[in-house]
Order: sequence, then C-alpha cells, then structure tokens
Amino acid sequence: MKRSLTLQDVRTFTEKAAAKKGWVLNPDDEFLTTILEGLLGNFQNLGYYQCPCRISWDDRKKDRDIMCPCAYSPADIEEYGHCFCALFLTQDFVDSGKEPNSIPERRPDELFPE
Amino acid sequence: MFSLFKKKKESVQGSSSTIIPETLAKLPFIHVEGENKGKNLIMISLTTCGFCKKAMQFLTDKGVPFAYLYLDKENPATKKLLRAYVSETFDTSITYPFLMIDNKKWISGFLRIEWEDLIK
Repeated sequence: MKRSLTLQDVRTFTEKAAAKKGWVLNPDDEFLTTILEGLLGNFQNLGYYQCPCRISWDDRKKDRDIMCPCAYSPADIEEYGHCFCALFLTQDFVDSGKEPNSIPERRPDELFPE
Repeated sequence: MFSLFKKKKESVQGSSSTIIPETLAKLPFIHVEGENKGKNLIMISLTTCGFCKKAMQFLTDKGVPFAYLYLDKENPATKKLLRAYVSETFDTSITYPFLMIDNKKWISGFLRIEWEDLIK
C-alpha cells in the first residue's frame, strides 16, 4: 500500500530543493509550518506541489510555472532575498535579521485563472 | 490543520461592524470583532499562505475589526465573482492577502510598514 505524504516529507522536499539552489528555508517556524502545510494540502488535492501563495487552475499544465519551487523564485530571490511566499531565502537575507514582506507578483496576469 | 488566531472573536455575518458590499453580501465572510474601529476592512486570503496568516494576526493583535474569506476554499463561481469585483472596483488583480479599505482603496500583500500606516 502506498504511504501517504506527511509534513516531514514536504519539509524534506523543500530542504533538498533549497540545498540544491543554495537557499535556506524560512527560519520562522510558525510561518514555515503554514507554508509546508499548504504545500502538503495542495499535493494531497492536486498531486503536485502547487505554490501555496497563489490560486490554482487545478490543472498541472497550467500550474506548471507555479509548482514549488516556482519558475519565478530564482529571480525573486536574486532581487528581494526571498521567494514570493518567503519559503526560500538567501542566507544573507536571514543574516540581515529583516522580516520578509510580500513582494510584487512576477507571474503575468494572463497566466492566472480568469 | 490551520491554527486559529489568538484573541480572535468571531461573529456571524450581520452582527458585525464590517460592512460587506452588496455584490459580495452572499459570500461566507467570517467577521472578526475589535475595538479599534475606523476603517471598513475586508480581506481575501488563502489558507495556505504565510503572509495571509501574518496579516490576519496583525489586525487581530491591533484589535482592528475586519472580515475575511479564504478564497481557496470557495467554489469556482465565487472565485470568479471576487476576481471580477476586484478588477472592476479597483482595476487590479488579486494577490494574497488582498485588503479592501472602505471599498475605495486596497493593499495587495503584507508589508508591515504599509499595514502600520493603515491603522494609524
């Protein structure tokens, strides 16, 4: 029988994604847990890690660019020090002690559901 | 799965100080009461978004009454209605959290400095 995904699985997935890109996870545990729970719920509902900070098409092809880590995260992290959700941060941003805030949406409007 | 906010007092629609525009009146907004009245605040949120949770906690901590709705929990018709409403009323698209202020102004996303200004 296939084992169902757990929060720890999601944490491991994001840790590996962060390590691969040279990023770190948000050190604010409560904030991080909200996002990880969101990713877990999205995976359970959709079958993929849909970005928890954006509304979904419920369609893998249309959501492809916002599967975590999303297509916009490298540019956002480069410019702002963290991704749109503030799940992934640079170590420099963490070291600065600044609080992540919302950043402008880089995904074009026309890619969202009407 | 999603924890509730500290010090939050919720009431059913109709008995709140937050007024919902007629077009949206049938939507299941949840009302949070507070003593720090002044602006009519309506928030569109996602259950899964860290900044949404932060924004709601901010208003709750400041004792500001507001109404909110988790758009990811709504059906496609409601999503479409809200997106159309925001587009027509504010000439913008929704990013989360999306805050409607007195149905005239709006804030997209949670930037603490901007939200601090809001409640001054």
